[in-house]
Amino acid sequence: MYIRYLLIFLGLMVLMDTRDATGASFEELVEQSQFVFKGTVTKLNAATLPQIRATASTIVVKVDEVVHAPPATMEDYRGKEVTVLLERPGTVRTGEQFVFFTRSWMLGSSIAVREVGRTEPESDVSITRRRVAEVHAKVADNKLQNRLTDAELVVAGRVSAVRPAPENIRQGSVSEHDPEWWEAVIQIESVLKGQINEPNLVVLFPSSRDVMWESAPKFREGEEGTWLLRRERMRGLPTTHEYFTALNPRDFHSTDQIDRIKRLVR
Amino acid sequence: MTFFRHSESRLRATPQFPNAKKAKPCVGLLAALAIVMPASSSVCAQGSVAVTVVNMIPQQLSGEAGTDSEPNLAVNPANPQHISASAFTPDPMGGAHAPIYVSTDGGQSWALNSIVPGNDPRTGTHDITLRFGSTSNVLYAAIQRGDATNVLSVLRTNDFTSANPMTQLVHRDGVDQPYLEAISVAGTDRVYVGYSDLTAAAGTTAAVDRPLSAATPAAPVHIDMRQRTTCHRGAPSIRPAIHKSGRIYAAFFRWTRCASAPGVYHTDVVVVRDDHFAASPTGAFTALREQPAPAGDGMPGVRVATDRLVPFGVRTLGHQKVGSRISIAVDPYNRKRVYLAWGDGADAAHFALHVRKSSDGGVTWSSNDLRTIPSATNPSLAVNSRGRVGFLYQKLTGTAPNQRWETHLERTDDAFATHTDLILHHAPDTVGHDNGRNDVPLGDYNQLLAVRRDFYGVFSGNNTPNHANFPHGVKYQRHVNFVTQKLLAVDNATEVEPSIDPFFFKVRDSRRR
Repeated sequence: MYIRYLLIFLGLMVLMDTRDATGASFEELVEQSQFVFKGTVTKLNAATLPQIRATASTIVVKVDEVVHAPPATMEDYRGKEVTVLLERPGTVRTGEQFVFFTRSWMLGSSIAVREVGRTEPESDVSITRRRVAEVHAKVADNKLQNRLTDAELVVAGRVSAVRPAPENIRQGSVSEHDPEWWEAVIQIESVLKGQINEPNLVVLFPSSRDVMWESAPKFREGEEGTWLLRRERMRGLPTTHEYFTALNPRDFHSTDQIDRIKRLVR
Repeated sequence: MTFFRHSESRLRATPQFPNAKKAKPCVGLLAALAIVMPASSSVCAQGSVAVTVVNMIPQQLSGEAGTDSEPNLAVNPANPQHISASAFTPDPMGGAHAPIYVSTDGGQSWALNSIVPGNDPRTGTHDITLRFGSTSNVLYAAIQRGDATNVLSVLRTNDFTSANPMTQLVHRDGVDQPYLEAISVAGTDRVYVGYSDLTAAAGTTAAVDRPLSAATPAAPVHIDMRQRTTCHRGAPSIRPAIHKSGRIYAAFFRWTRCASAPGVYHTDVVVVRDDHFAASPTGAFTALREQPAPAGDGMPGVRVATDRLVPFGVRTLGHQKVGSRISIAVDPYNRKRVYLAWGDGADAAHFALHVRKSSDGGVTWSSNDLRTIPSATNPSLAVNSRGRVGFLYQKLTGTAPNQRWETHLERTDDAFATHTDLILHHAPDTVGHDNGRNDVPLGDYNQLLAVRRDFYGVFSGNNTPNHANFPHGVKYQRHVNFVTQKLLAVDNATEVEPSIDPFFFKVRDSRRR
């Protein structure tokens, strides 16, 4: 009897350790966050940006340790004060320290973030940092796996040639966001998913740097890697069915990712 | 705060700025006399002007080197301290929502507020324009979503500094260059979005969406009503202009003969009109008709200019494409007085902006240009509460590879018989083109607005911190060193490469008409 109660108690302890007050799991908190940091509450009903009206939901927090931050913008925020928009007002006091899981809100003379959740800090922030990194790796794998699932064909190979797409393709897309379609001829080295009997295939890609196509992978002769290919219906392409595309940034991977892709493709 | 007040008599023609209006010296006493005297001297009559120019990139984004181009601007008429803007700026944290620029102090300082659905990690949204309702304090935006291709969302927020994402009012597929205007009438906001409807039957792509209220988004009106026999579509820029009486003008380019893309397109410049807020389920935008043949064709929409050559999809001025550039503005106190600007010309040697005026509600137009600006693009017109016309444009000067972009604001009280010219910015055409791979470093448009007597605007340009590039001064929020003319990262030490940034400006006249 006592052993059963003890097991239930230990189970609850584990749950408390991995879920914050909102009930979100550690994984969910990380997945929804862009900026994770250990911080100390310094002011209530306050804000660090003039564009924000201080309310009971806004607090100022000093960043003690950065656990995870977007590259280039906020990696060096230790020691600075930020505004946090609380999920639930009145749930913190000055001097309290938490690990805040947050997403973007406002950036100006300072930054303001929107709380996704918070947990009690672990004794060593490097442990939290490692756990966050593990979740990010898992999330990235899940996203790649989704692209792999949707792909009709996954091939590893080398770009043997690039050239402008045929005239009827290029003329079909008269737009200020003209993709400026080009073709990449892929010399196939291995097929990881799907079937193709030819040694080469042609991938249509936008050479344009227009905002609508900026993120789409561009290819150059001699480039090696793995392509996740699908045949998408693109407006203005009269012969789309003959062309494979790889328009998502996750649709092309350099050769060092081949083992990861083999592990995830099923 | 950078706040320059000076007499416009400082604007003199120089070899560097040959277009600057020649002016006589004008002292304060004479300027005061000019207020009560007919403008025998147009320069003195201009009185003093206060010019504010602000680089909008926030301090905490000092390390960025992106192409933050194609800006747009919204000033809250109910509280001009509240201003919002947009550019191709992604969410700095790579989140799901793209940012808008927000200012609560009249444009002196700016922050990014990430509340626009569909962030592209490199560009934020694709095309985006935004406006406030005139009395409601509600901000509206029309966007091409950053996470999709040619997908329109019309959005609103009651509090533009709130962390809550904007609410979606309308969602459509197959939309290019949505351009939003809004007005509040009897407590209700009316929102209009001009865009190119890529799904339109028979290629009559010029359309205006009428989401008159959140609950009842009406079907779009296709405003190019002439039968199309060629091109399969029109140009992407469709610009509405609203008068509080319910009169709505819209201007667009109608392609009549198309080249193989890219190339030069034969184009008519067309203005349509509706006099009842375009609320009618049928027959909207048919108030203007041409005379029957042979004087016209009897169809809705007046062709202000016909068979103009417009280069589309080709780099024409420096590193910049300039196809499909058009702007229209109506006098807020005279609904019949309307101004139109557009760009045409087959190549760099012939491309120019043209300004025309109608005093009878668009029925007839000045037969000649009021202004012709060679080698210029991104026209934007506005008329203030005193009937003064503002004309914003960006002009390429010099010879390659030493060409420069100049951003001008011209103002006139007499349909450009006389005008004053403020050069807000001039800098080399050396950044934003990504080693020649980006064809629109400045973007496809900028924005000029008039709120009461003041002109507000936004443009994108080379962000090198050089005082000589800003004849009327500038304020940077991001870290810079004007002595070394270097941009600095958030640490205020690491050098950052120059790029394209959005610049806000405000011009306030002291002159009374």
